[in-house]
Amino acid sequence: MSEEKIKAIILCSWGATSSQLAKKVQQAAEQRGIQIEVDAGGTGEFSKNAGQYDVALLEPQVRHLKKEVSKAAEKYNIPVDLVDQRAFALMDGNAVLDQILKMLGK
Amino acid sequence: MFQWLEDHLMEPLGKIAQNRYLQSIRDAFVVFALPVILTGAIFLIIANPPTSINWGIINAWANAVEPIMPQILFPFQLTFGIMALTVSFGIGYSLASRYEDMDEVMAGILSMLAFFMTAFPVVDITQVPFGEILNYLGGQGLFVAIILGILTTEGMRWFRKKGIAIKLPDSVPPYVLRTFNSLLPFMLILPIVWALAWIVWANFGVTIPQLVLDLFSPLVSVSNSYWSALGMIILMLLLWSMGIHGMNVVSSVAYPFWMTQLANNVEAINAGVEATGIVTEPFFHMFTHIGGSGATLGLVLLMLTSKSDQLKQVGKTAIVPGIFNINEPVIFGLPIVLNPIMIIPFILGPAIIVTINYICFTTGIIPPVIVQPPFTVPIFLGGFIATGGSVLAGLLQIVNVIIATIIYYPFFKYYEKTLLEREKAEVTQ
Repeated sequence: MSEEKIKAIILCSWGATSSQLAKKVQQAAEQRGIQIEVDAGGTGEFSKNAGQYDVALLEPQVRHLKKEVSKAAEKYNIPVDLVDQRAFALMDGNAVLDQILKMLGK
Repeated sequence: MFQWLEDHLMEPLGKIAQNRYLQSIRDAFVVFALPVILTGAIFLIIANPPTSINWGIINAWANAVEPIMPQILFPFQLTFGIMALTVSFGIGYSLASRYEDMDEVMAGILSMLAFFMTAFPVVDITQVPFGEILNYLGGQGLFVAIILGILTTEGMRWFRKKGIAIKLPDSVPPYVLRTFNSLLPFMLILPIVWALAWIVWANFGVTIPQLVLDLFSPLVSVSNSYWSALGMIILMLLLWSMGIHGMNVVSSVAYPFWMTQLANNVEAINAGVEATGIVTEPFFHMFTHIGGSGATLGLVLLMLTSKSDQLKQVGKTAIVPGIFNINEPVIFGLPIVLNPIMIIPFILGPAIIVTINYICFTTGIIPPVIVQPPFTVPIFLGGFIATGGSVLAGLLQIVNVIIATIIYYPFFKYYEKTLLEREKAEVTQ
């Protein structure tokens, strides 16, 4: 599964916690030798640049914005899911990486 | 009960928070206006040194700036003082960016020009003293900036949807196309704004911002009351208890009011009169949500020293973000979300803190908030900066955390006990 580099984005309201989580996922991926680029961002900009990504994760505290995010993601056929609550709380990069891979069916 | 709250509170409020207008308003403040406001705040502090700290150097500083006050305040007045101009650009830009196919920058410029036009009396503009207008380009113009920003951007979008634009052949470069696409909206919308401004001036003898300010003033004073502060904090924390970003939801409606209070305070200080704005953004972010929403800084320390593996592990993850007032790890990891035992102190503590804060500000024990620091500024420093250098304000934050921690303690111990029993049971199995 080393084909193309996966591009993922983790979204929260202003990009504060998501940037930390994105870094953790990136580190976990490097250790496991998985080709992935994880960005962090706010939900606002996502509607504009959704097209760049293969998968989008939404942090649980902004799940009220899921509809808006899903609408933007649908156009590009990007799967959207909520970050698992426990993995999010512990900033568990490995678990979130697994979640991303599962969403992409790998 | 959680299901009921989820259906009757989260659903409708989630919808409100998802409203693109409210999101654009919040972005306009947080993304666009904040740098301008903070830059201005630096000069405000230079002009108003914290003389409550009775040090020789600070008194010398106060004496030094005294004769050149207008010059020191110059950059302040043309940044913070015209924040509504920034906000109006921000609204146009953010709203347009939420629609497909819109030119955000042009929407921002249109919104800003429209707002600028309304701030002046429709007379011989060369005779209008700029100083009289300044206030309406700042705090007192916020509501008009927001309303016009939404209307002009919607207008622009309407033109676009109806295909009203000067048609050019495909061979025209995109750069040129951009100009022509915005041309008609500009040429039609700005004259409408001008006509409105003229009608209002001719009939009421006031500018649109003055008129709107009068209309909004009852709401602004209600928003500054104790009950409004208490209502806001309870709503924020109820939402967080369901796992929803409460600050995000509440601030999308409350931001213009908070900012108006902040701007009023600053104007009052500069004019040498009493500042009365209490319910501002730092009232919550700095003085109440210390360590993150729900004032969880002390709670994280309790977790760090816990015998429960789960709590200790979450505590370790939570402590560094907690210093910067980020506490999602606590809310989702302790967890507080949907945890009836922890929700009680999570709401009760901050409700008491808000009451203490309100008393401290109304009685003048703590000077009014004149600076809005980024929400990540750590305890003590945050209060110190927000009040333009009051040590007492920093101490109030510390007292507040201690109070919150005392309220958390019995609930935390009870919850810890249940966790420990469960962990023990797992080991013996």
